[in-house]
Amino acid sequence: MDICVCGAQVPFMRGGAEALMDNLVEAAVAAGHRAELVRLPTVWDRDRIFDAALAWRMVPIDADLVIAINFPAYFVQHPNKVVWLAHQHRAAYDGADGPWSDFTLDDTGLELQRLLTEWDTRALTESSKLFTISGVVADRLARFNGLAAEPLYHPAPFWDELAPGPSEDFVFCPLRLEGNKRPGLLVDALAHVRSDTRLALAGHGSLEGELRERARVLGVDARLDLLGFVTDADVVDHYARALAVVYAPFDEDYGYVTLQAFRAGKPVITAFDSGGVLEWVEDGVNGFITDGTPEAMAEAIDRLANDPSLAEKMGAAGRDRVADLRWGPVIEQLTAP
Amino acid sequence: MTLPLLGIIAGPTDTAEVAPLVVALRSWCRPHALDPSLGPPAALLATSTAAIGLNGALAGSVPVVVISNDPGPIPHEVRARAAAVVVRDDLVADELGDQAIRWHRDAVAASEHPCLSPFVRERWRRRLSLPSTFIVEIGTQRASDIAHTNVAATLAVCSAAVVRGPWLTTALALGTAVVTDATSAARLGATPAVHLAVAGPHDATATAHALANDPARAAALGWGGRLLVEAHLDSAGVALEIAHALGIGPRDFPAAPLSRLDAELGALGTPTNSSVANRALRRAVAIAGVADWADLTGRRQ
Repeated sequence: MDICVCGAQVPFMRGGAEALMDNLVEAAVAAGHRAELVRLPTVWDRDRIFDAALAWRMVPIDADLVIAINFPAYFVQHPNKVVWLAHQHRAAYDGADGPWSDFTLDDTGLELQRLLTEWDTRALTESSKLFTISGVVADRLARFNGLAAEPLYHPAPFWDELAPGPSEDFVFCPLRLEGNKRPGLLVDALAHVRSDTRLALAGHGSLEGELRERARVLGVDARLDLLGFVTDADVVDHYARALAVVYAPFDEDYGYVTLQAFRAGKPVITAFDSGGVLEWVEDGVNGFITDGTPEAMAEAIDRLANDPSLAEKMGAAGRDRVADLRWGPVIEQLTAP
Repeated sequence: MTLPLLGIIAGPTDTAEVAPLVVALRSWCRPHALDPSLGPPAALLATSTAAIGLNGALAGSVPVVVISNDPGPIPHEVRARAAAVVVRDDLVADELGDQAIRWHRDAVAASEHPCLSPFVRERWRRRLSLPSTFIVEIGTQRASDIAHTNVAATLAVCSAAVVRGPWLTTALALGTAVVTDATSAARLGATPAVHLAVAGPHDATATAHALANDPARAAALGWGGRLLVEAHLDSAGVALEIAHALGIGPRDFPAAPLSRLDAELGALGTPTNSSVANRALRRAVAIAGVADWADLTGRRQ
């Protein structure tokens, strides 16, 4: 089968959605299909947000199947369109009027939210099958658009490379240093950690300078490692050596970090409002779900630092939790007649 | 671009009811009372079976569509002359067969009632300092609680509504999570649990509260209701059928919020009615709104 995977492109940015698209194409090829990735540049400001959607309406695609991944790629028109939704334009939905959205609650902002919702609903209902990458995304689709979708879970990047290793005295998280990932919460938690545990954060972002300053003010800069860009191999290595993974984004769509941590046999410390992370973390079994305060995050870190066998046991439970994740069934469902 | 002239033949008392159709037809033609100074019309619209006898329309050759509000049979000479007859009565429509254009008595102009999903409604309520959960009842004894002119606006922002009277189609068009009785649902051809919720008089309010507390179900019903109106209860759809029957049709694509795309086409020097422009507009039409199409066609005249 000839498959075109369709996704948005924000030039010079790379994150989970990009990894998903690349890995989907790779998995489809591995399953015997011909597969290509089709991306169109997209901007997120509300004055131009409809442009890329209209552009996708015009893109002619000759293929047996198109699989659209995210906004606005699902505006593509094709007689056999399957949507596997990673996310909508959240700034117009749950993120509206928030710090990273220009969809305000004035008359214009509300009308644009209304219109985008209607456009989304129409474009998504054109699909022959509607999947989401997680239950969280499916739940949003139901609440905001009244559409039913089936979650379809897939393995995270570096799946085959990730493996448990001997734990050292640091907790780890690879993440973009941006507001919705809440790296500041992790730095604040470090100030309440009583053990000698260090915090290693891999990745760049606009909050990097702010985090350094915050750590200095809190007196924890000596225990904070802001690693910046790290290679894939280094990410895998850090997972293997970490005591645990701390990951508490706000309402994450899916959260590769959780899956990678479990694959590497590490427990995950998260927050009650971290979205897709909570589909995997079971409090007290393979990690801790905290109330999202620095104090509670720190207490969970200390508990694992003081009881390495508990960390190992929880990590093993996490590895079991993700043992069934494979690309094969995902491709089968996406390409089924 | 000059839109074709549509001559309106109207009796003295039958214009008010057909006004929504005439307004909708303005997207694709220039409706005007017959006036020799404007030149010959491309087509005629008679607002009643009696009106077609006026101004010699029966003897002409341009296409004519006739609107009939009467439950009785359509006169032979009207059937012989009309390209189509717009009828309210199902029995008459069945008798006319392919010549009939059905116009539901509860039809509204869907484009004038944009669909609002529950989360957008909730934000409007916050902005308007309305209660977080806002249930309204329309068409019952409590109708007097709401000023008549505010009914549509109230239906647009409420969490859910119990509607039993003539506002039912409007409520559905707005994407409101609606509770009604079985008779009212059947009158519109609505399917319970797909387009709206059905409840008896004693549990209707409780059902509305349950919907208000279940945004996913409210959103699904609201969207279902909207699609019902667009498919069967939209006067613009009737107008579109009239335009097709008269041969003045809307280039076969009715609608789109296309102003930015149109501007890009214009900036590239694309002729208004070129195949490239029409292809672009047609590709976008499925996600579009009639109001935007009207705006676009108006601007491109």
